[in-house]
Amino acid sequence: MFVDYYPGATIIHRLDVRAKLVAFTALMVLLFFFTNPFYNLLLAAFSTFLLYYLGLPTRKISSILKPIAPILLIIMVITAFTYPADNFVIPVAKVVFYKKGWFEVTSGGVLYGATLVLRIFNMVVLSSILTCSTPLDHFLQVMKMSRLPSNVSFLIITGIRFVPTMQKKVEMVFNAQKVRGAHFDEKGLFSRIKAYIPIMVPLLVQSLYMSDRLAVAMLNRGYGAAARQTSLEEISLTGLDYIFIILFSIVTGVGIYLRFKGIGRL
Amino acid sequence: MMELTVENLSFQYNRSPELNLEEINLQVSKGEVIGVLGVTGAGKTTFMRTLNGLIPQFFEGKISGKVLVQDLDTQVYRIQSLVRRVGFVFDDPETQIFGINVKEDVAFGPCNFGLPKEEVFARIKKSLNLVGLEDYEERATENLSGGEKQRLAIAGVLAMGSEILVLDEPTAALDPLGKEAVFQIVELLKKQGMTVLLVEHETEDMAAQVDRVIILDHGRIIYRGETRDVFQEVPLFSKYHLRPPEVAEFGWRLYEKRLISKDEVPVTEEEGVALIKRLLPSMAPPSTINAIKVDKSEGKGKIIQSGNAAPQEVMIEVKDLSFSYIKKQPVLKGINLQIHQGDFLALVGQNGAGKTTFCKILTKLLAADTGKVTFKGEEINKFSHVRLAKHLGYVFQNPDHQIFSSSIKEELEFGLINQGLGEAERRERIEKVLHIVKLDKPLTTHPFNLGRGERQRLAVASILVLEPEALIIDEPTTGQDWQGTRNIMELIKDLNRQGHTILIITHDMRLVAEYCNRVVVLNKGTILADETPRQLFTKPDLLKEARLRPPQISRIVHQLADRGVPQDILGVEELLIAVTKLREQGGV
Repeated sequence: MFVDYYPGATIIHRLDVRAKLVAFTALMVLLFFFTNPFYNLLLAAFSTFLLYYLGLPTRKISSILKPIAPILLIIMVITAFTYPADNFVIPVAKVVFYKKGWFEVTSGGVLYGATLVLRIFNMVVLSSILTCSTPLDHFLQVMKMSRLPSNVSFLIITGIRFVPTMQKKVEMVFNAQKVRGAHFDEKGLFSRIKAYIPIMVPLLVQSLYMSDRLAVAMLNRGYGAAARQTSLEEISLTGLDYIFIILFSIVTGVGIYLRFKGIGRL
Repeated sequence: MMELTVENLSFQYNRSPELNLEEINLQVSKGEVIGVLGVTGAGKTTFMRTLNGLIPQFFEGKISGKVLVQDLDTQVYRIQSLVRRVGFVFDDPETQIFGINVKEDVAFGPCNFGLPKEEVFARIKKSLNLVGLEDYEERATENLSGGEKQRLAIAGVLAMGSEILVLDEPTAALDPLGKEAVFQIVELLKKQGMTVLLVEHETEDMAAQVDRVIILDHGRIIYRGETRDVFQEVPLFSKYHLRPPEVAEFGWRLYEKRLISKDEVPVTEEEGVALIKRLLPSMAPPSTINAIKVDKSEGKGKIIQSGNAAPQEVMIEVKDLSFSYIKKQPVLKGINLQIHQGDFLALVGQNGAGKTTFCKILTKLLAADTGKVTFKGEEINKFSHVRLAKHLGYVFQNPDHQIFSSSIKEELEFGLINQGLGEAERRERIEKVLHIVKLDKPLTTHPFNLGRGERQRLAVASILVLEPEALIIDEPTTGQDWQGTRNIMELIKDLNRQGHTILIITHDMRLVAEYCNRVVVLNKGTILADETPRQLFTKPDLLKEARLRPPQISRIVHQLADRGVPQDILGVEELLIAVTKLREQGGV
C-alpha cells in the first residue's frame, strides 16, 4: 500500500527510517506467528492507535481502508465455510455450527478467518504508517547506504518522479482517441489488444522522446561529473532509535518463545 | 578573454543529408545578452548544443571548427565539466526536472559535482531567490505550473554556478504570465553580469531584452547586429519568415511613406509611444477625440462582427455549467454561453482559468456537475463519442498524442472506421481532406517522417475527415515559428470560411485580433467578457484583471488617448491610417 508522505512531528516521524524498518519487520513477523485472532487483535489495536497518533485526516484513513473492505469480507466468509473442525487443536475452535457433506461451518474457521482479516488489516495499516511518516528521500538514503549503485537509486527516484507525468500523458492520449470515436470495450482478447494500439503507440513514442530529452537534461546538470554525489540529508540513529530497535527485538524474541511454547494456536 | 568564441564551426548530424551548421563565427563577451532568431530547422538548437559539448559528444556527427567556452575547448572537455560554465534551459518544462520536490531538483546539479552539503544548501537558497521561488523548497515539483517549472529549471542551472546561460525557447510552452516571469529573470540576470543567449520566437519581448541579435537560416548566420539595427530591418523578417514586432512593422511603414527616417523606426513599445507623440505633437483638441474615423472594413476589421450581423443559428448552448475536480474548489462556476454557426471564437485566459476543462465538457470527456450543454438543441449527454465526433471535433495541442499509425492513410482512416464507413467513402473523404489541409504527401508516408507543422495538419485532418460542423482547436500555434503559426491559422480561417464553426484556445492576442470575430475571456471559472476582439482590447482594466496582455499596437494606443488616437484601433494598418488622418487634421 503506497501512501504519500504526511508531514508531522510525532515520535514516529522523528524516528530514523532504519529503526522504523526494524520495527516494521518485527511486527510483520509477529503477525504470522499466531493463528489465534486474539494476538492479532492486540496488534491491530496497537496499529490503529499508531494511525490515530499520527494525526492523519479521516479522509486519508478511509481512503486506505475502503478499497480493501470487500476483500476482507470475502476472505472472512470463505474461511469460515471451508475449514473443517479437524484442522484445529484447541477445543474452542472445534465447535461445528453447521455440517452438510464436506461443507462445514466451524468456530475455528470463523476465528481463523478473523486472523487472516486482521493480518491483512495490520499489514495495510502498518505499511501506510511507515510510508506516511517517512519522506521518500529517507528510503532512498537507505537504498544508497545499502550499497545499491547510485544509478539504480537514481533510476528509482526518476521513475517515481515521472509517474504523475506519465499519468497525464495517458489521459491526454485517451482523450485524443476518444474524440475520434475510439472504443475500448471490444470483446475478446485479440480485439481488445487491438483496440488499445492507438493508446500504446503514442505513449511509447512519447516515452522514447522523453527519455531522449531526459538524457540530455541529465548531462546538462552534470550527471556523472563526480565519483561521489553529495547526499542532502544524512540520516543518523539517535538514542530513541536504539531504544526502539531494542524494544522491538525483545518483543520479537518473546513472540518466538511463546510460539515454540505452542501458545496462540487454534 | 571572450566568454564564448566560435570559429568556423560547421556540423552535420550523422543522418542528415546536408550541413546543419555552416561556417559559424561568433564572439560573445561577458555580460552580453544575445538574441538568436530563425525559423524551425534553421539550426538554432543545433548551434546551442555545440556550446556545452552536447554536440559532438552526445549528438554525433561531422564537426569542424572550434568552440571555446572561456578557455575550454568543447571538443576536448567533458560535457559534465562544461556545464559548470554553460547552463542550458530547454523549452519543455517537463523533461528537465528530476527532483520530487523543488529543493531536491535545484540540488541535483551541485550534488552531481559532489559539493559540500552546506554549499549546496546555500546555492539552493540563492538561486531560488533569483528566480522568485523563495520558500518553494518543499513543494512537490509535480504541482508547479508550467511557468514555475521553467523558473525552477533556470534555478537548477544557476545553482551549478554557470556563468553563461543558454535559453532555448524557454517560453514556448508558457502562458503570458509565465513568459513575463521568465523575461523578468533574464533582465535581472543581465543586471548581474550574466552572459545570456536567448533563442525566442517572441520578437517583441526580445527587442526589449537583448544587446545583439543573430539570425540563422539553413545553418548559417545570415544577419547580425545591434538589437535596434536588426529590428529596424523589417523586410529582413518577412524574407526569413520571422515575425517582426508590430511596432517595428508600423515604423517601417512610416519610413516607407518618408514620414520618418530609418533610424527612427521604433523597436519597442516605449519607442513607439514616443515616436507617435512626436508625430502628433500637440494635445488633440477635445472636439477631435474619437471624431476621426478609421474605416474598419479595411485592414483587420473585415470579419463579420457577431451581434451586428443577422442572428445566426445557435450551434452549442451552455447553460449554468459548473464543474469541480475537487469538492468545493469549482473550476467552472455557472457558465452561460451560446456559440453560433459560423463563429470564429477565441477562448482566452490564464492557465488554470478553466479553458481546457470547459472544452472537455463540450466534448463529453468530462461530465458537468450541474448545468447542461446542448448541440443544435440536443443534449450532448445523449450523444455517444462516435456520434459526437461527426458533429464536434476536438484537435488537441500536441499532434503526437494521437498519431499512432504507420501511414497517413491509416491515421486518417481510424476515425472513419470507428464511424463504420465503407472503403470507397473512406478513400473519397481522405482525398478531400488532404486537399483541404494542403498536405501534399503520398498516402503511404510515415507520419513521423513529417515535420511538426505537417503532423499538426495531419492531426487536424484526422478530425476534419469526420466532417464535423464545429471544431475545437487547443493552442494550435504553441511551439511553432511564425511561418508555422501563419500556416495553421490560415488553414483554420479557410475552414471557418467554408462554414465550420471554430473555437480556439490561445494565448496569442495578436492572433485573436487578426483572426477571430469573437473572444470569450475566462477568469477564475467565470466568463469575464464575451465580445469582439476590438471591443475587448479597448478595456485595459478588464484585461489587467484577467491578466491578459493585448497586442502591442493596442498597448501603444492606450497610451495615446490624449492625442486623439481612437482606442479601438486594431493592428498596424489601422494605426497608420489614424496617425495619418490626425496629422492631416492637425495640419502637420
